[in-house]
Amino acid sequence: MGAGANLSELVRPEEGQVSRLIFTDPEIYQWELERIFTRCWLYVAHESEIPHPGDYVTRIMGGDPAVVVRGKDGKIRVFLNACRHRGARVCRDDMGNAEQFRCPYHGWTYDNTGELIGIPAYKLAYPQGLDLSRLGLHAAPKVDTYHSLVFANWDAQAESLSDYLGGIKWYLDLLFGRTDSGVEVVGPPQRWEVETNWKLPAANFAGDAYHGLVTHGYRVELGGPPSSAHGHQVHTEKGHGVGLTLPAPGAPNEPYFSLPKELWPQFERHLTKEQLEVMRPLRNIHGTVFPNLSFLHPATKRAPEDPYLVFFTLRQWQPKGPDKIEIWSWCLVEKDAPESWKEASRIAYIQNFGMAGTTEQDDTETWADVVQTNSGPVARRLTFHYGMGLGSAEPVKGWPGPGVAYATAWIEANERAFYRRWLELVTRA
Amino acid sequence: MPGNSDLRPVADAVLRDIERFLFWEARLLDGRRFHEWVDLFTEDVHYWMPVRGDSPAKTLEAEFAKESELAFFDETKETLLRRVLKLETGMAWAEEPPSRTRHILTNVEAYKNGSNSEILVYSNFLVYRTRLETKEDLFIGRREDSLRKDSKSWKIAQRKVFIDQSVLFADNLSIFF
Repeated sequence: MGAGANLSELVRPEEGQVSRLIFTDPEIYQWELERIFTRCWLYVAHESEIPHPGDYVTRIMGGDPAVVVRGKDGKIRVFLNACRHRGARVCRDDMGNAEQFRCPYHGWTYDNTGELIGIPAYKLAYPQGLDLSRLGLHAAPKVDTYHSLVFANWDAQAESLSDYLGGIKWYLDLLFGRTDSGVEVVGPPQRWEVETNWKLPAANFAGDAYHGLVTHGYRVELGGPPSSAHGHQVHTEKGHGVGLTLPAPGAPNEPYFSLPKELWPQFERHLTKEQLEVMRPLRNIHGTVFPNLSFLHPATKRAPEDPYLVFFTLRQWQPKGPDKIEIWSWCLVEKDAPESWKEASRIAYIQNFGMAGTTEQDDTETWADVVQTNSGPVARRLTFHYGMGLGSAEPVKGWPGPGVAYATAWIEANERAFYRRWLELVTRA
Repeated sequence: MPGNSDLRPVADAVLRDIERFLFWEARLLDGRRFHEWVDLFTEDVHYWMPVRGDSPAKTLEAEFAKESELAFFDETKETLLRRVLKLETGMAWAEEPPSRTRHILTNVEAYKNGSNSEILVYSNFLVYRTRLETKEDLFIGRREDSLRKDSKSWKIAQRKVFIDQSVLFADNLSIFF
């Protein structure tokens, strides 16, 4: 790897400097596909999308197409969506229920547990016989779930999901583990292509609350509250990061994101006292599970006189090239919330985020612009500045949760942690 | 008309009138006269653009998300107006500078639907958008509108936008259909 020989010089999180080259270089992109996306735990589905045996969804795992299927035995498995014979896709639609997957090329047929169970005209085609047991769909060797979030890993040597998530689990509990029934996905995900590098939105969601001030400044022009600098940013050594935004001091806020009061006793049952104390006053939670799964859970108001209402989006930034991603954006709601609340939350998501979201429109504009603007020979010699808080902010002592916490929502520590982890993985042979 | 015996094509003169209305609407959009555009909708309008997926032929009814599921747009007149007001804040970066659009409408059909006083209008659209120097998007699909005539002009009481892509090929939807 030409450029990669000195990646440690190009990416210097401890100095708050990240080379612009890593956002545009095709060779570095290929190293990312290999060293990050075939070795990290990648999000593939929410359990509410595949509740019954036979249910499947087709997804993307890094650079490869995958089928996520709950087998007839109830177990979730993830397979490369390619026939073991000669590679045609065995599942050609988004979602459904199937007992078998039949390749349209030569008809090799797989059970929904991935076993090869049929070959047309087998005795004629293979008079010598074939060991079918060795020709099942290529499975991701590791599949595991945390609070209904299904992850998979192509690497049989990978650490457990629990170890991989590590301290970020404590924060995922605030969103995904706070009620008896948890969250459910509303409708199929929005999917759209944006001409940017996957790291820009992933790192942004991990630790960039500061951009809300100007990128989303229209909100203030329309009577909304200014972007808050108050709160905490927390990251863990695995590169995961969350932002826990508080309203400005003195600004009114309802506890628990104004989630329906009938759910609050469930929070008290499922979360620890420390988790409740952290969650109770928040206005927003945003974050990224390295490498490319992000979430956003903001309490918003349509108009100044309206009550606060939270919406919840989960998204994945699927790499399609150094300068292209496919965004998958899900809307989530609390399963046990009243229907009218769920409907209002769904509408709030559509208004603000997603492809036509008044807030998200400006994010994708910026992320695409950054890659286009910095693709040239002079720009790519330069770095991006990730120095906010460097050398000045001290981690909070006695922070009740895991990870390293800073007492501000405006700091670039999580982004430095993201690139630190990136560097660690991309330079690991 | 094939498929639905309750639908009766409107008279030619009415069809021409409806086409004129749709072309006027397109000219307002391409001319960035967004307040006038929002005025073309009734107070109780529902404006909806569902997510589209890839379904097998035998379950094609599942191709588009249902009304309670996920959509790109799911609007009232108030939320459409809010989108327009955003464009005037000077901080709508996705539209600074503004996109250039061209709404091309064809295949306009208009039907009286049983005893319903509203007219059911189908049209196909091709919306070409360019932004900045070289960004170029093409959105193609169809619309299903319910038009209501008030004392003197047509208003859109319902619009459903069905896009001909499952993964959409644009950075955002900062324009209207």
